[in-house]
Amino acid sequence: MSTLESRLRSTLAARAELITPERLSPAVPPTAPAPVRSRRPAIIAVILAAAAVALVAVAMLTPGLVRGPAPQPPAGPVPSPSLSPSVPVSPSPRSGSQASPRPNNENARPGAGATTAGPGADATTGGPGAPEATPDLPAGTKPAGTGAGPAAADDEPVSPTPR
Amino acid sequence: MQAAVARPPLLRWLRSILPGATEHRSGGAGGPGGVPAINQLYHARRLRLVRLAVLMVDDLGTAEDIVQDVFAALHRRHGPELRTLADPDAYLTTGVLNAARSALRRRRTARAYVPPPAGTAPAAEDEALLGEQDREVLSALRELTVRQRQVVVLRYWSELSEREIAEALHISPGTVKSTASRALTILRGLLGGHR
Repeated sequence: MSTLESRLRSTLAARAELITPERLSPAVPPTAPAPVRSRRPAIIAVILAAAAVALVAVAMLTPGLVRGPAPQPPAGPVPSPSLSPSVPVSPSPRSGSQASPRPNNENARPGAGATTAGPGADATTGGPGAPEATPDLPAGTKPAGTGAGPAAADDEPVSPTPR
Repeated sequence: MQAAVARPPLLRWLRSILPGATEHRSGGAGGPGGVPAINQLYHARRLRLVRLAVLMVDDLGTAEDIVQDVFAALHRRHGPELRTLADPDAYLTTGVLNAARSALRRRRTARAYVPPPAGTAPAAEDEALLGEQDREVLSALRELTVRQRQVVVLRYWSELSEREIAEALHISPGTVKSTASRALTILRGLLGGHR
C-alpha cells in the first residue's frame, strides 16, 4: 500500500467520522408515508360529500326544480279523456242558469267545441281557464254567489246532480 | 395483534387515515416487533449510506436527502418486506452513488452559470475540524471526475474489491482498474509534495 493510498484511507475515514448519528435529522422510515396512500378513501368521501351538498344547494336555489312544472299541466285547455265521460252532457237547470252562454262561445272558438263536453268542462279545468270565460258572460246573467272564475270550481260538484 | 384484528372496521379505517397512526404498524409479518424489513434496513444502514453520500457530495443536507430518496424508491419498487430484492445493500449503494452523481452534475451545471463566492465550500464547517493534510486531500478529490471519485471512495473507504465496484457502478472490472489508476495519477500530481 502506497503512502497516497493510506492517506486517502485516513482522510476519507476522518471525513466520514464527522457525520455522527446525533447530527442526522430525525429518522423517517420509508413506510411512514403509507398513511398518505390510505387517506384516499377519506379524500373521496369528502369530495362526494361536497358534491352532494352542492347538488342540494343548486336544487334549492333553482325555483324551477322545486315547484316550477307542477302548475303547468292543469293550464291546458284540453281535458283528459278520462274526465269526459264523467261530465254530464246535458246541463242541469241550475247550471244552465249559471253559464248558459258559454257553450255557444266555446263552440264558436275553432277547435274548442269538440273537446269540451259542456259547461261543466270549463269549470273542472278551474283557475286559468275561468278568467277567459268571464268577459264573455253578460253582466245580467251572472248570479250572485256563482260568479265565473276560480270560485266556479267550488260550485261544480253540485251542478251534475239534478234537483 | 389480536386486538388489531378485533378492532371494528370503522375504527381501523379512522386510525389508518390519521397521519402517523400506522407508522411501524404496517406489514405485521416483518421482523421483530412487527417492524417491516425495510425499516430495519433503514435504521441499520442509514448512517453508513449518509456518510457515503457525504464523501461524494460534501454536503450533509444533500446526502440525507439522497439517502431518503433512495429508501423511498426502494419501498415503492419492492414493498416494505423486500421479498423481491436479492441484495438490498447493493441496491442501496448503487442508488446512493447514482443519486450523488446526479446531484453533482446538477451542482456543476448551476455553478457554470452562477459561480459560488470565493472561499466557500459545501463542507467548509466540517472540514475545519480536520487537519491540514486531510483538507488538502479532500480538495484534491474534488478535482476528479464523478466516476473517478466514486471508484476512489468505494475502494478506499468502502473497501470494495474491483469486482464489487464494477457491480455497484454497472461497469466492467477493467474500467474500474483503469479509472482508479487515472485517479491516483491525478491525485499524485495534486498532492505531489506529500508523497
